[in-house]
Amino acid sequence: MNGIKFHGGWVIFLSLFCAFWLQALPLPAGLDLFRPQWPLLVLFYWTLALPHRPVLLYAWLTGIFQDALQSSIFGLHALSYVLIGFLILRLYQRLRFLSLLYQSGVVFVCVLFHLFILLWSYRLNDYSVNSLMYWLAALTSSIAWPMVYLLLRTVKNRVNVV
Amino acid sequence: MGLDQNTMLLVQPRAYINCALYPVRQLADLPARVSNTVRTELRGRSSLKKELNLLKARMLLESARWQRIEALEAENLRLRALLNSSLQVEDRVSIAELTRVALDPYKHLVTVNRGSLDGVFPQQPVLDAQGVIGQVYRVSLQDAEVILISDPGHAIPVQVNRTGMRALAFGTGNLNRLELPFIPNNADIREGDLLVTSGLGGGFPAGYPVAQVDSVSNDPGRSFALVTAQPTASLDRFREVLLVWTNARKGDAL
Repeated sequence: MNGIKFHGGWVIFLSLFCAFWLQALPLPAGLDLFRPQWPLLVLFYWTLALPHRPVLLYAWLTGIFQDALQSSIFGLHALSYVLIGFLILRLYQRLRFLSLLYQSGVVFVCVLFHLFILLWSYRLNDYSVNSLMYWLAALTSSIAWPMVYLLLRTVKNRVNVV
Repeated sequence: MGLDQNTMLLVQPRAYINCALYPVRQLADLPARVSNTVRTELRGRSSLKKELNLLKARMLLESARWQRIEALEAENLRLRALLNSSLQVEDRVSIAELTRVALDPYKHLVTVNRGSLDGVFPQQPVLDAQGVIGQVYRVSLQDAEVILISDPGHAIPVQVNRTGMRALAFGTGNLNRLELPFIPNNADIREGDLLVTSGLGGGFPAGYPVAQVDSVSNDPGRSFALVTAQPTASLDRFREVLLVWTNARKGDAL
């Protein structure tokens, strides 16, 4: 893949920065559960759009940074992101042809998977996550997906990120 | 992950990454800070006056109490000198402000705006005006994470102020509840008892209020009583915290 010139990497960086910012933005106590998994959504988009880039490396780095940001154990988010990234990388040719609605469905499943890995860590550390509200983030993430997709696609085409 | 869980190797890299994330945290804190500033700027004259009067009244009360405390402290020191025990009464304190950053919603962690550049160290006790809040969990250069006493993974050595009985207070994951799981059924502990830090374990200085017992129930089928307590500090409403440096660590001859 050395023939392809990368271009506009700063857009990816900026989008991830914004995702981190949205993830760290404080919300009123009840609304916290509705927060979509922004970094995962952004990663999802870039994996889908630019699979020739080293996206798994991006996924891993994003995961490590998010572990530092959220003060979780190192490698937890990274593990989950790399697994999901790998999945998308295998399936991107099919996923691209799905309509936005179906893609939202796939996002829903991916975020569920991500939340499942997080839940595993919570239970190992004796945190009681005992309400169904925990899974709400998957729902809000899939609702937020079309928005993220359209926004990032516009930016990508404007700046010509390759 | 195992490396992070079981060794100290990744403490330093994490601190560096946290430094890189410093702008993210600052930006995230921005809306709260702006709204706070706007609110303070827009307050009316009458409400400011009212608050001023209230503070003056409280100041008077506190200074009256303080006079007594100074005398008591002097007496205490004299008695301790007689007993040949050296206890540092003075603790060095510095004020840190909360950075409003959403960390993991299920862990009871907050970020404050003092870091290792200001001499903050892990396991440093953190208080507010009403009592113990928690201890420093992770430090980076300019900010530090504080784990609250209500975190399910946190326990603090306490002492019943009335009787001097020692116990451990565990966090429950609920901001308004601590649990004391290993109190014998026949122990002398009642509702309303104040729990203060016992100073055992070396982490927290002795004598700061932690929580107030709010229910004691004896179940004959269990070997221990079920005791719960409410933290005296309002763990969900503080904006400023006190970081404490104690010199009691070395040669603590109680």
